[in-house]
Amino acid sequence: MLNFRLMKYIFLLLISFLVFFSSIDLAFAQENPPLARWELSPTETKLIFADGREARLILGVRKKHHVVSKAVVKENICFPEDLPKNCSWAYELGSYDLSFVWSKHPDAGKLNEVVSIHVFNRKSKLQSTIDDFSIETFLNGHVGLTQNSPVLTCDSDAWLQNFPKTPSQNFLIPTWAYEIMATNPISKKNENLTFFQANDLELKAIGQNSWQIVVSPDANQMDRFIPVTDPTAVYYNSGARQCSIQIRLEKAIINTVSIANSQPVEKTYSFPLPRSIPKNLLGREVFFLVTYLTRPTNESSTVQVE
Amino acid sequence: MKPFFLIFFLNCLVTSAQNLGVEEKLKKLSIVIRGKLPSQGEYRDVSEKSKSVMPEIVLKDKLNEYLKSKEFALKFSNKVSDMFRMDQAPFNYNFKMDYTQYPDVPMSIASENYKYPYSAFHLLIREILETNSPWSDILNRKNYFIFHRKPGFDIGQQQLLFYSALNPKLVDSNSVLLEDFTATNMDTSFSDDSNSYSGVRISFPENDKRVAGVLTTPSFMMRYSTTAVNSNRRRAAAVFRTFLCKDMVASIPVPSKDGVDENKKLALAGEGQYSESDIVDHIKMVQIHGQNVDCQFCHKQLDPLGDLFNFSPARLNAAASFGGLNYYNEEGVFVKKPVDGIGNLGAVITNERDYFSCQVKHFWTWIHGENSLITPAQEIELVSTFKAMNQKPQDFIRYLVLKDEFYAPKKYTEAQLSAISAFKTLKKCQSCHNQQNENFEIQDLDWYQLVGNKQSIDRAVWIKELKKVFQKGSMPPEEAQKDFTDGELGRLKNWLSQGAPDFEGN
Repeated sequence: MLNFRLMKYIFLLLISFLVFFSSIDLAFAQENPPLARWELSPTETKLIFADGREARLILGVRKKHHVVSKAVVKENICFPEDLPKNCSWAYELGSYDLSFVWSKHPDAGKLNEVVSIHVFNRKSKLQSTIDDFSIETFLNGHVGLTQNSPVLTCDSDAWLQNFPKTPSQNFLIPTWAYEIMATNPISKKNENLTFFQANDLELKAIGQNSWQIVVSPDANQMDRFIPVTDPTAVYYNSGARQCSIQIRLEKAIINTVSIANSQPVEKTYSFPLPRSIPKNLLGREVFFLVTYLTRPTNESSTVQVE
Repeated sequence: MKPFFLIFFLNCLVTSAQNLGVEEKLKKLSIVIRGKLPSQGEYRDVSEKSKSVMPEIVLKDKLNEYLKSKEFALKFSNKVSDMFRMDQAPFNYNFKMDYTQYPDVPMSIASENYKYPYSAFHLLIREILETNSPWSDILNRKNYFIFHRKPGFDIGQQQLLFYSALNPKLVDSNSVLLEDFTATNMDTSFSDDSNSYSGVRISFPENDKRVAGVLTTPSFMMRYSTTAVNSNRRRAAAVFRTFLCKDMVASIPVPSKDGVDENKKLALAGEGQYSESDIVDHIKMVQIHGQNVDCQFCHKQLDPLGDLFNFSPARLNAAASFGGLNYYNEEGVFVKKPVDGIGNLGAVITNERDYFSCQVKHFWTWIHGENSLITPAQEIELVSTFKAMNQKPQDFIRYLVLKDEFYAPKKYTEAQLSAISAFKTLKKCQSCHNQQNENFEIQDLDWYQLVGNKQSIDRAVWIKELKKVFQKGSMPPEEAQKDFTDGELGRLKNWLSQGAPDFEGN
């Protein structure tokens, strides 16, 4: 018992020393000024470094990846017999690189190269790849990108006749949901879950038994792609009843992202940031890493760029 | 000789419980209300005060103090979470948060740093407990406090996005000023999240048909996630279990030739025993299932309530869905009430007698333990008191603790326990012998009086008839035996063989 008590006191003493000396270390740690500052203009976004170097933000646009996927429309809960025999989805997926590249550098060979940053002995590029699935609407507005919504083509339209219609005669899908077998984060059980949901999507006729997805102007960008996830459930009302239909895809969007990301870059734009930036973009690594440059640093953290 | 010895022994126990010292009573009070032992200082303080003031008054003061503590709110909100079969801790386990920066957050949470960013579900319950708001607010409350991640993390954004169809302004916060992002304190180090989260109070009109307390929170919807096939039945079952103490247990007796009951399999999908992917042809299964009378017993109760959650599988829909509260109440009567939107469910359900009896049972169990017994007479008294107290949780818990049974749990004789068990079992007969089945002769019996009061008119005749049908084996019929456990039927027969004692054991 005595030995145990003695050990306890020695341990506490050691902890006290450690706390004391680490406090001294912190007290003497000095803050260095930020390595760079933002410079925003209507035409470009720059990082101006204290040593005179400059980097500008560019957007690389890859060739669109076009996908045609067989779709199986099944399990109409209310009208089991009302199902098309053959359907397919056609959609395209864009992929983009947001990068800071050197625009002013003493080594001319570095110009237009992506800036590399060393943070805590880890080297990373100031670059993020974004796809249509998660892109923000403001990106379109800046460089005039086009995003076409997926198109569904079937061998008949009889199965849609019980759906409600909008004033413009589009078929209205009150809820389109992406279901997945996954671990429920709360119950910790593996079960079928509805992960994402888009409300009030419309199917606009663009040809014989062919319909394009229409989303409301203020909808999340992801909403237009929910129909090309797999599996999905379409909910609608028929009279007082909620009806549902399941749709399975051969090539769901999640499986095509890596192909879209490997397409060649076709065009490059200078990318001016607005003063108000979508939070989803700020969570991207390229901006997350910039915070290490635009805030004061202390001696214990080593941040370098090349 | 043996029963006499047993009663003597039980009475000794009661006597010793009644003689608990003030320190022992303080210990019990503290553990039950706060979930922790009193401090040494508290023991000394109570002991000292009890020399000049009656111990009951000293303990009452401590009770009032404990009911205002954050430990009380934490402990009982965990109890409520358990009741809903929710996780007690919210979604992020590695988190530090300075709640003091949000003056609008529920009281005790604001008092110091907590480890977790509480979900809207947890915060609502804590707020009701801390502010002693009516219990019905769990279903009726139309405002939420929400913590959500600031930049680009879907798990936090989901809390806001969940309500965005009801209030499009909630997605406007998806952008942030560059100055804020580059500010020194905007450290995006993920080990310290205090600056990565934001808190906001969102409110909807009191008559909003789309919002219903904890039922319309991201946590509840995710815990009882639905699919096209499930059609919100999991959510409906959770409402029945929590608010009316009705378990919608799949009780389908028909075994298939290969020993696998496909109907039962379908019914259990979502209860964790089978996944819905196990059942390949949903349409076929629904057709078979839908024709089974036993299946319909639950479905005609579950489906109308599930309709209230329509079009909201992952987030709330802008339009309310119409549904209903259809169920067999404790009296065996089939209640059928239309509900115009889930926001009106609270007003309907909290008018039901079964809601009150169910809720007082929850409280009773939280105070007296899982194995405690609540007699029919006590239940009537508790329901009446709960109503009179406007369902205020602190007031009701205070009432339960101040009753004699808290420090000296009442002991019952074997005959009394037998009568209570018989009453509970016989009440289950009313799912068939009820007002809607006109051919049954015993449809309007006052079960409470017949079992509980030996002086009740016609009791002797009725007991004789009951003995007869049990001896013949005609009741319960084979099809209904699934509704009773072997233990229940065994105890009922035992009660009859004991001479059918009443609640007083006579």
